[in-house]
Amino acid sequence: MNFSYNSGFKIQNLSLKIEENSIYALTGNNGSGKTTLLRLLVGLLKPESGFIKIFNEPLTRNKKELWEIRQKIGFLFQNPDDQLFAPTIEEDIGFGARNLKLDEKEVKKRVLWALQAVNLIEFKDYSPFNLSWGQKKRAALAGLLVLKPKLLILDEPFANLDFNAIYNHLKIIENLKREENMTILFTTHNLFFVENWAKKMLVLDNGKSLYEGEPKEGLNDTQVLELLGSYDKIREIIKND
Amino acid sequence: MKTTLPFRHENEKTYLNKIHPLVRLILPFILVLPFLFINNIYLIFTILILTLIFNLIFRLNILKILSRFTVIIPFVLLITLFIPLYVGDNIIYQLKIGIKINIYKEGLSLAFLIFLRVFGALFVFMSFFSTLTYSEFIEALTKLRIPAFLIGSFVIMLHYIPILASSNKKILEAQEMRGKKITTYWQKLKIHAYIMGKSIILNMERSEKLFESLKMRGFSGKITFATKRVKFHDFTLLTFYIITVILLIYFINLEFIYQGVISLFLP
Repeated sequence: MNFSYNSGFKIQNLSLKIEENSIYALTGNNGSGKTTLLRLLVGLLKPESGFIKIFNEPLTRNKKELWEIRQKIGFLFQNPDDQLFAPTIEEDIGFGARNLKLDEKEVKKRVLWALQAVNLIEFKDYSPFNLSWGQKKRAALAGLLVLKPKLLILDEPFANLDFNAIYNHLKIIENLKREENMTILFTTHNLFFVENWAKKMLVLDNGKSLYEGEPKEGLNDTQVLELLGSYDKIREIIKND
Repeated sequence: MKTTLPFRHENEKTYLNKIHPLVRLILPFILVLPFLFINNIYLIFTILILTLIFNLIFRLNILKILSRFTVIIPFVLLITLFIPLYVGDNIIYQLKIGIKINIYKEGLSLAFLIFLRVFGALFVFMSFFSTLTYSEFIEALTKLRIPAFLIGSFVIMLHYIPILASSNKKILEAQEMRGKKITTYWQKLKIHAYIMGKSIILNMERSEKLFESLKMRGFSGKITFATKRVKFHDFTLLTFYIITVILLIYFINLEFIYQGVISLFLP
């Protein structure tokens, strides 16, 4: 697959395959093309050449067919403020379910389930603007869960979260993965999650694939380590000071 | 904290909540439009009394409703205060404060009528809108077949007001932290205008992302929240008010009734 922006940034000769029910990590430096790749995968951007298949179905530009594929995908944006828009959390979560044209009873059932899954039941009447960052992230996740997606795409799911919030967030996603057999694709800069959570990883370097495979192997690769860096370099600066 | 519209009373549960939002949106127009176009002071009084009775039946907090528009009243008074000084022919009083200022009878009744109209319209609208939530308001607009793009724009506009406000505040704080001194009102205004411009550009990018996220959740131009059905009691209430207004305008001699009532107290 190839893609380029007017600014000149390119995704070049990229090829990846994500197995069902697996956890796949996408990592790389800032501006390496992680978010662009995710947007290509969900049809928000159109590749210049190549193809994308989701659950063995080609990603088309036909609106109706695209929505049918998107019903199977939950895409969590990096910034929850880009996703939460409704007056209350409950209504925001119900938005996707209502677009599925489900009857109101089913919508309410799914909303309640999603609220319970992300532990936000007591905040259901709150405005998204009155929640903390971690709560907003959970609310945004709940908004995707009502679609009952088979593939969960998470753009920097743990960024800007404290330890407890990461713990809660991860617990929720892990439970969902187990119960709903979801496939998870996530981007991160945190190599701890790449090493310990993902089953496979792709390292992007300026729009090109640098490594694809097992995280443990990849994180021992000198080229990968050189690109992603390590805390040893930071330690050196601290020591010198 | 719940999201509220400027005219809504926060966390207030009343019987009016049980009425369909569409009816709550239409009713004040049915009541207000006749007295805005018909020059009949008795009609305004009657509709005000009807709304007052309605508020008591539906247990609305009248003081809270009044408090929502007390800020506007001085402006209305200011506008109407000068009308009796230049409208009319029949002088009812002459002020002598160095110069002679005439107060005209016609001007006085016109000023009273304008004041009563504005007060009446505000009171009726605030009463019926006092229980409307943001989503109910959107639902009512959707039911009225207001174009989806207008409702969508309204939703996104409301979405960005707090974001713009908070990002403005943060930028201002960051500038103050870097030594920017804001002493005069003019400086404050200039900085706010600059920040506002910058925030709008930033938020245009954000709105693109919001649009993408909505598309990912099946957005097709129409925003739908939980919908209620129009029930029999909603229809009854609407019919009752329509019939009442028609009766008041065409069949009931309000002037005769009011004069009769007044004559009972003032022989």
